[in-house]
Amino acid sequence: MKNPMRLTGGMSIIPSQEELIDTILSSQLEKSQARLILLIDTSGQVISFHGERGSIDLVALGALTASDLAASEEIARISNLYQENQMVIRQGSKMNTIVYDVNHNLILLYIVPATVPLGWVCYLVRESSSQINEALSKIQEISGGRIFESENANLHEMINNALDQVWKD
Amino acid sequence: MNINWQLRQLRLKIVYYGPAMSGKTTNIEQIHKRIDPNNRSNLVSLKTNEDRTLFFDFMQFELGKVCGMAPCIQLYTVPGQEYYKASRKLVLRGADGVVFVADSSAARIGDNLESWLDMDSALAEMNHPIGKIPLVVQYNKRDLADAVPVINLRKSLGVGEFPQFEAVAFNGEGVFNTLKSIVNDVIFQVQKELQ
Repeated sequence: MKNPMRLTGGMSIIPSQEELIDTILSSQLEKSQARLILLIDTSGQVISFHGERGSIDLVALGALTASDLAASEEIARISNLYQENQMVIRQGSKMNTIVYDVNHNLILLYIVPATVPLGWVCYLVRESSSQINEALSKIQEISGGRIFESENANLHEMINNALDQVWKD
Repeated sequence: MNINWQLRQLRLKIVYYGPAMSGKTTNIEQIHKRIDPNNRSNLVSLKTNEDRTLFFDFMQFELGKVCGMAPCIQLYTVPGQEYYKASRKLVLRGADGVVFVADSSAARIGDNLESWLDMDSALAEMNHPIGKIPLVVQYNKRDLADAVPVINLRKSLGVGEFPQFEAVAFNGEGVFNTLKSIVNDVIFQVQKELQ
């Protein structure tokens, strides 16, 4: 069985990892006074969200944040300025936004009022990133086996049925 | 791919690739139009002033429970124009499957091939070479007067045993079959990888 955390093309989060991540981000939310903290994977899929959701479209926010960091990293690469753990900071009059490359799989987004010192927020972003990495590396629980407990022929039929159900002709 | 065992969620990323104006965005728009709004996100499009894809189009939809798991599928398109090569590579990151949308017009055979080779090299760079990542080919715009026979399109691209579909994405024809095929292939690949 593979390490449940890393797969060829993505991540598998087990319950104990999710709990740890939640604890870390809840504490960070309080310390940073962030309006919102979002943890996504590099393909933009939302892993954890803390703060005021309001009318924010989290799915779109995840996809755009991942693309934002990917584009910024590529700009850095093309300009020969790439370093590990890139941080993208946007300063605004009311809110600051920080996007941070936690590792090659995860990205953090902080949206914080401009009244909170930016240096403090950057410190906290790095701190949470280290804590997340540490939490993920400690846990090597084995989970799973097959993700879908079904024979392949049945699985094929079930996927098609599920697709038929959401599709309107 | 992202699996949350607590929520029993499986999140997958599928990218629609192909030359400019081949119908990638049209595919996504049709899917968005036809999927039950309760099961899908909004369509996000980063476009130029000329309404061409600048970075990507994106939507997500959820399937009901399949064997206790809830698959959630993210669909992206890449910008097709040659000078957006760097952006295309970024969108391909983390892809679990790819749909290659070829333009059936005789005038676009060269563009199809160029885009196919571009995809081949981008996937190889990411250690997901063609043949190792689920891939479905769609021959779009079959209604064109100068549409090249599919057999010729296949030959020109050197497409092997990948699932292939004819489509007129503008009116939704072939869009669902293509989607069904890639979703199945991607889920089976995940199942295989986890075994």
